[in-house]
Amino acid sequence: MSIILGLMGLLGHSAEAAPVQVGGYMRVMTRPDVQGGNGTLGYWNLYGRLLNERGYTMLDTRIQLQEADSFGDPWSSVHFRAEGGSIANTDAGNGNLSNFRLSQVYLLSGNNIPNLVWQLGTLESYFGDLGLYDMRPAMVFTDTVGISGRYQTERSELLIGVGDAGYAKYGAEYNTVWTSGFTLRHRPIDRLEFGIGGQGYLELGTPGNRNAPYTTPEMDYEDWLRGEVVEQFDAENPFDILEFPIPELQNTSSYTAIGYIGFGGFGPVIWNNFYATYRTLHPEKYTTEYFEGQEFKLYTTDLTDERDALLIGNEMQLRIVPNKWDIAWGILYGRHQDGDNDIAISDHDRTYASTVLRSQWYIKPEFHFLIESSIAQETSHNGRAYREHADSIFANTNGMADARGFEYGDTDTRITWQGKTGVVLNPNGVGIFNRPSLRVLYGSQYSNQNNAFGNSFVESLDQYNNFGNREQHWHHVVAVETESWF
Amino acid sequence: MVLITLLTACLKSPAVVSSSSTEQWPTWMILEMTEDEAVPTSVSNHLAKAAQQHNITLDLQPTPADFEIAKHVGDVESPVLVLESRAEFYAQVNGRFRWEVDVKIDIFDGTDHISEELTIPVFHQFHHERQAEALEAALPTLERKLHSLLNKQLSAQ
Repeated sequence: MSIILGLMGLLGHSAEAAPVQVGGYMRVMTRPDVQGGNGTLGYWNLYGRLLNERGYTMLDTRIQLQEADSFGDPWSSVHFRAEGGSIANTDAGNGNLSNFRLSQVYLLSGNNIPNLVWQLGTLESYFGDLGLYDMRPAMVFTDTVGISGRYQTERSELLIGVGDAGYAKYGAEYNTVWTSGFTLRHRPIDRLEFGIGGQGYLELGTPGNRNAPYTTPEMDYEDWLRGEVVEQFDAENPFDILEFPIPELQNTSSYTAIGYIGFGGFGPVIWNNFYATYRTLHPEKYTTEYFEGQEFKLYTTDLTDERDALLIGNEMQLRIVPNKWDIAWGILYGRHQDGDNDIAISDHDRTYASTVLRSQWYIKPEFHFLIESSIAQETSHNGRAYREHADSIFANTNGMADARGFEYGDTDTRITWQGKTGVVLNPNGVGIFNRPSLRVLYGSQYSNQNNAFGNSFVESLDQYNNFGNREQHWHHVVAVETESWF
Repeated sequence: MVLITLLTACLKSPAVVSSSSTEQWPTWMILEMTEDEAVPTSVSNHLAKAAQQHNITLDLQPTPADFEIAKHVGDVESPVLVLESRAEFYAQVNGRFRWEVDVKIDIFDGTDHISEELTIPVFHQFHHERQAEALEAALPTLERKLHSLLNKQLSAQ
C-alpha cells in the first residue's frame, strides 16, 4: 500500500528544475608583488589570461515563468545578470558596488513555434571563446537592447535580431543607433562546424538634436590632437572667435562581420576553434576645448569615422596522453587602423600578435601540474609608443627630446615573453578547462619595455623627483587563485 | 611536491556500504528528449561500475519512448533503481555554455522507496555539446549521489 501511495505522489512528477536558479562565475586571487607592481604579471591578456587578469564575479539569475512539462513544450523565463571586476581586499576598487553593473536583463520564450526561442531585452550572443586569452572575438549584440529570434535544430542555428545600441554607445548623450544583425551556425558533420554573422549600425542625424552626429568643419587633425583647434582659429581669424564654425549634421554607420570554424574529435585533437572579426568603429561624438574662459565643443564625426579593427584568434586543445597530459595552444592577431590619424600613437593604430601554449599534466585526477608560455609582439603604426629605459624620455624623435612630439618612447615595438608554472587542484577531475580550480602559480615576464606591468613608479626625470627611477625588464609574480563557474 | 602531498591528504573518498551478497537490480536510466531515451552508455556504464562497489549489479532495462515510472515499478518485489534526467541550456556565462541537468533517482524495494532530486550545473566549452555531454559532465556529482543513496538503502536493510 505504501508503495502505491508513494507512486501516486510521483505520477507526473519527473525530474524538474526549481523555478529560480542562480548561476555565475567567480575568480579571486592574491598576487603580492615585491617588485612594485600592482599584482598582474603583464599589461593584458595578449600574453595569456593566466596571471594577467584580476578578480571578477558574475551572478546570473533565471526565473522560470512557464516551465515545459515535457521536452518541446512552450516555456518562458527571465534572466537578470549582474557582474563586475572588483572584490574587497583584492583590488583598488575594494568591491565597491560602483564597479558592478546590471549587464543583462532579458526574457526568453521558447517553443511557441517549434524550435524557436524569442529573446526580448539585452541580446548578447557569441560563437564561443578563446579560453587561454579569455577573449570572445566573434560576438554580436553586446551593445544591443531589442528582440531576437533563435531558430535551432540539431545541426543548425539561425539568430536574427534588431534593436537599439544608442545607450551602450553614448550613455547620457543618447541618440538612437538602429542596429540589426544575424548569426548562422551549421554543423554538416559531427567533426566540423562553421558560422558566419554580422551586425550593422545606423545613426541618423536629427536636426535640432544636440546628441546627433555632427562634424565641426575645417578642423585640422593635429590641432585637434593638441587641443589647439580654437586657438589656431583665433590666430588665423583675429577678433572673429564668434565666427567659429558651427557643426554640420551627419548620418553615421558602422558594422561588424564575424566568422567561425570549429573542428575536432579526431586523433589527439579535442577541438579547434577559429574566430575572426572585422569591425568598423562607430564615430565618436565630440571633445571640448577651453579658450579664454569659454567652452567650445568640437564635433568629431569626420575625425573618427575611419577606424577599423581586425581580430583573428585560434585555439586548439589536444589530448596527448588521455587522462595524463593535455595541451592547449592559442594564437591571436589583431590589427587596428585609423585612416584619419597618421601622426600620433594610438590604440587605434597598432598591430599585435601572440601565441600561448599551456601544458597540463594530471598527477592525479584532481592534481595537475601546469606550464604555460607565451610570446607576443605589439607594434605601433605611428611611431614610438614604448619606453625601453627609465631615461627614454630623452630618446624621443630623432634621438632628441621633443616636447611637442606625439611619440611617447624610444621604440615602436614591445616584445613580451611570459612563463608560468604551478600546481592546480581540480576537484572535478582532469581537463585544462575543468573547473573549479585552485591554483598556486609562479610567473615570470621579460619585456623590452621598462617596467612592463601595472605599477606606481615615478617616470619623471625631474631633478626634484624624490622617488627616483627604476629600470627593470624582468618581472616575477607568485599567485594563489581560484576560479569557478557555478 | 610537498604541496601536492598535503592537498592529496585533504581529499576523502566516500565511504561505501556493500551488500552481503551480490544483488541484481532492474534499472531504468532515462534521458528526457522528444522521445525518452536511455542515458548515454558512458554514463550508465560508469554508474553501474559505481554500484558494483556496493556489490550491486544494475540490470539496465530497455527504455520505452514514453517512459512512465508507475508502469515499471508498480508491483516490484526486489529493489529497482530509476534515474530520470533532463538537461536544458541555461545561458552563455563568461565564455561557457551553462546547462542544467535535473536528475531524480528513485530506489524501490517493494515496501518503501527512497528518492533524491538534484540539479547539477555543467559548463560546456563548445556549442555542439548538448544533453548527452551535459550528463557526462554531471557524472562526478551523479556518482557521489548514487553512492550516498545506495549506502542509505543498504544500511536500512
